[in-house]
Formats: sequence, C-alpha cells, structure tokens
Amino acid sequence: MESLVKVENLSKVFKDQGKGEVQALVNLNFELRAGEIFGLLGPNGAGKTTALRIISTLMQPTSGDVFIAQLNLRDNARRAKEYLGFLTAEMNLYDYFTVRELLFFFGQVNGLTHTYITDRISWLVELLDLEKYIDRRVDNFSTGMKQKVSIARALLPDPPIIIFDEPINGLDLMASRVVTNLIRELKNEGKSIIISTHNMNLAENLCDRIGILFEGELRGVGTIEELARNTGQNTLEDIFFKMVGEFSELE
Amino acid sequence: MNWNKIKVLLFKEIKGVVRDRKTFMMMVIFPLVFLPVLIGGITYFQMKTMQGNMEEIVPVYIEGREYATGLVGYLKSSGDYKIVDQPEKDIAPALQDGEIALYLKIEPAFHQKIIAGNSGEIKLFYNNTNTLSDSSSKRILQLIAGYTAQIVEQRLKGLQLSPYFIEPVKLELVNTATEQEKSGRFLGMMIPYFVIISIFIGAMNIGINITSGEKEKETLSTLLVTQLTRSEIVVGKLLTLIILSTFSAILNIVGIVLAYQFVFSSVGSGMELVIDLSANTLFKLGGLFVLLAFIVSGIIILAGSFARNIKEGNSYVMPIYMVVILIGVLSMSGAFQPAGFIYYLPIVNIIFLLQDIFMLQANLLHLWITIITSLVFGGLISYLSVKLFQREEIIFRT
Repeated sequence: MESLVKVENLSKVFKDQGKGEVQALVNLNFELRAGEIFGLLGPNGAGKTTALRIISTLMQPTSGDVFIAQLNLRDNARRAKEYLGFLTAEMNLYDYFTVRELLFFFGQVNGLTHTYITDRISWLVELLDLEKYIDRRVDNFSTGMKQKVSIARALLPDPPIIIFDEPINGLDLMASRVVTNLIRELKNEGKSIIISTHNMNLAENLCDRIGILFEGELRGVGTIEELARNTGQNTLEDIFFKMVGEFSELE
Repeated sequence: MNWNKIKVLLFKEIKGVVRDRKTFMMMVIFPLVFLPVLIGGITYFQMKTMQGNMEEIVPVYIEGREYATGLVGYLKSSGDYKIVDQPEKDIAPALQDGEIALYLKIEPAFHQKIIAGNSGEIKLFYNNTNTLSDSSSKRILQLIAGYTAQIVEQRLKGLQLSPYFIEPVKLELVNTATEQEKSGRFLGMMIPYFVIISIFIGAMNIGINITSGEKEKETLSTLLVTQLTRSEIVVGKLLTLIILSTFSAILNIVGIVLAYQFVFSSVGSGMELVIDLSANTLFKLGGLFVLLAFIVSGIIILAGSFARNIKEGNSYVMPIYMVVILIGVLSMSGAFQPAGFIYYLPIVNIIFLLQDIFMLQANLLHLWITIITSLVFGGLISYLSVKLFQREEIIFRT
C-alpha cells in the first residue's frame, strides 16, 4: 500500500536552559498508508505533539527524515504543506473574524481561488452544520463550535493528509461525537489521517493502526490485533501498559 | 516572496486592529479628539490665565508710601494697581495666599535722596509660587523703570544735557524671521517629539499584539502551517506596523496642529501657525515618518517575536520607549544643538532632520545620510526579525 507519510529515524533534541539537552523523540519510524487512520497513542509528554509538529513542517528534526507524498520535508517543506491539513488544540482562531472571513483568509493565504474557496466553504459549513453561524464572529462561540471552525479551516484546501493532534481534548460528549464522526467520514472519503491521543477509546474506535509512543520512543506499531499478538494482551489498555511497563523494567 | 499573500495577511492584521475597539480608540479617537482637547484645553486656559493676570488689578501694600508720593501716584495712574492697607497677617503668608500680590518697602529718606540726586531705595517682595504675584512683579519692575527714566530725564534737563547723553548707542532689535519661520521654530520643537512618541505608541500596542500576542493566544501555529513562509509573515506584520504607525503619527500631528490653531486664534495671541504644505515638504516629511516607522516597527517586531507573551513583550519594549522619550524631550527642549555625527545615528537623525525641515534649515547631505542609515539599520533589524522567526526555540517558547 502506498505510504503518504513516511517517518524515518526521526529524532528531536531540545535545549532547555534548566535541564540541558532533552531528547523528545528517539529514532521514530512509522508510516501513514493511503486511506487509513493512524493513531499515535501516548501519555502527556510522550512526544506526540513534537512528532506531529515536525510532520506538519512547524519544527525541524534534529536527525532523520520525513517524507510527505515522497517529498522530503528538508527540501520541499512548502510544497509538502499542500498535502497537509493540521489541527491541534494549540491552534486558536482569530476571534475578531466571522467564520466566512476566517475561512476566506486561510483560503487566500493558501493560494486558493475565490470560486474554489466559496464552493469549499458552502460544502464545509453544511458538513459541520455551521450554516447559521457563517457570518457570526468566532469570539462568541463555544469550545465545540470553535473546534468545528478549526476543522473547517484545516479541511479548506481539501488536503489528502489530515493531522489531528488530540482532536477531542477539552470537548464535551456532544462535540466529541461530532468530531469522531467527522474523522470517520473523512476516512470514507479517502483521506489519510494521523491522530495523536492519550484516549484509549478514541484510538481503539477510530484507528486502523496504532503507534505506542512513550518517552519519545515508539514502543510498538501495528493493528490492535498485531499488537495484541505481540504482547499477549487482549485490550488496548493492557497492550499499552505491557509495552510501557516492559520497557520501564528493562531501563 | 509572494506579495499577494502578504497583502492578504496585511489586510487581516489591519482588520484586527480596526475591530479591536481599544486599539482603534487609541489610534484614531485619541489623536483626533482627546489630544486636541487636552493640548488645546490646557494651553487655552494657561494663556487665558496669563492674559487675566495681565489685566487684573494688582493689590499692593506699600510701606512708607508717604516717602514716595510721586512714585505712588505714578503707580496709581497706570490703573493696574490698587494700594491696600497693611494686611493683618505677616507679609510672607499674605503674599502666599494672595491677599496682596506685592509688597513695596520704601525707605524714609527716599524723597530726599531723589531730590539730592542720589538713589532712593525700594525693596520689592513677591512670591513666585503665586501666579499673580510672580507675573505682576515683572510688570511693576517695568513700571518703576519707566518712573526712573522720567527722573533721569529731569536730572539731565537740570544739567542741560540731552537724554542721548547717557544713551550713546541706540540699539534696535529687528526680527527678520517670517511668520512661516516663527511657526517652523515652534512646530520644529513640538512635532518631532510627538511624531516619535505617536509612532512608537502606535506600533508598540499593535506590534506586541500581532507577535507575542499571537503566541499567547496560540494563533501563530495556525498561520505557520499555511503556505505563507516565515519571511512573508514577518514582512506582512512589519508592513502592517509601518502603515498603521505612520497613520497614527499623521493623525497625531493633525490633532496637535488643529489644537494650536484653535488656541492661537481664540485667545488673540497675535501668533498664527503658517505651515509649508508644498509637495516637496510633504514628501520629505512623509518619507521621514515612514523611515521612522520602519525602524520602530522593526524593533518592536524583533522584541515581540522574541517574547513569550504580551507582558514580556511590553517589558522588552519599555526600556527602548524610555530612550525614545529622552530623545524626543532633548529635541523639544532645544537644549541640544545637533552636530554632524548626529545624522549618522538612526532615529535620532530623523528627529533632528524633522526639526530642520520645520525650521527651514534642512540640508541635502543630512537628508541623504539619514535616508541611507535608516534604510540600512531598518533593513538589518528586519533581517534579524526574519531570522528570529525561523528559530523554532523562539517561536515555540512558552
């Protein structure tokens, strides 16, 4: 199967004034195959956001390579961005804009034409049930509504690869349901998706394959069945703690 | 560099400023409404008070008035003074609280000394913390000088000498400054100070908001994942600041000029502001405003990009602001005569060149030196801002 994202020996070291050098990622290797949902599962501080920031061109790796649609990010970051839609909990919106103005702004800076943006906005507001709010300013929206607008922003250029960093973090049950349904719908449309999460249920319900990330290291990659077979465990939770625990004992 | 995308970013930033009521008030309403009312109001009332003091009948207590009846009559005939009885309080508190404005103490031998051709002694007591006492002390000195001149004339007559005997040289001062030059001197003192302050304040509020403010509000990552390069983002933000701070400075200048036009015309000071609005002058002034805005915006973008949040951004910019105020005050005081090397110092050279232009003393060499040094310095700061923006440890500092 064609891989749309390929991560090879990816490492990242941060220089911290207090702690010195901090190894955030250690030789990560995984890929995102066409049409699948790949989940990076790990606790807070495992390195999920750092990995996704590197894949989405926000950060540079210390060593290793990332390929997006065969384009190495080291030389082709700008072109590679055309294939990516990126959404994290740390990506807030300009709240003085209305939804329409906001989407137009992001469409224009991404080089999309006026007609294309107009058509995409019509489709996205219908998909996300935002028609009534299209000309309202974002600053009055609830967290769930803002998340919907953020998703619309990420999907506007119709990228084949979509990256969600903790997509249901901070959302209530209703909003979480909307987002998870949407991720499934995007997969059905043929999008390839990477999500990072510390939520076992979300990973279990949505992901075709999972990478378990702990202290910057990828402890295992595969389908839940493959991971279960390798660890001799039944549930994702047990698999996770088995992998993390085994490594901790070795350390 | 994709200029269409930069333009989109620029319009987005401007829209953000226009929709932020607080910033919009500071940028438009303050210079066009509050500033003229503030400056115009304060100056108007100051001038009115001074005029009032000049016209007010001054209460004077004269001790020993019987020894100088001629002088007392002379003072009374001016119509400006009311001779009052001895105050109940001591002299010092009476002067301080305004019961009397002046106290003259005439020596008992005053008249005899004058007759004898000697100097009669008078002591004038006043209190310079009391406005009327202070201003009338100067007026009474002039009046007594006039009385003295009369006595001198009589003495010279008695000696059959011409008044010119004691005035061998008659000096007449002729001010050749035109109204425009006089206005230029006044504006040259005022305007550069207000230009630098208004450009800095205009750029500071907005600049910190669109750099470290974006980090704090977590909107920056959203921008970084678009097709905009980091250089384009910096250029877009820099252009936003240059345009808005120049606009802010122009509004401030319009507000100040309107305020003084109103003051001068309404209090009948005899002064009027004559401003050279020729294309050449406007072009030079506009160019210097933009150059100043370029440097100031670059500094603020640099500081704002480095800071983690708005509070930290403001703390980096504040010391620079204090230095800028100092430069502005120096230029306004007129205490500092610019030497040639001054025109090589960025920001400072623009301030003094603005002053030169208003005072009609601008020098073409200084103009070119200022343009070149400002472009080089502004360019360097902008380059550093772009470099800083490309460093992830700075951009993702929290």
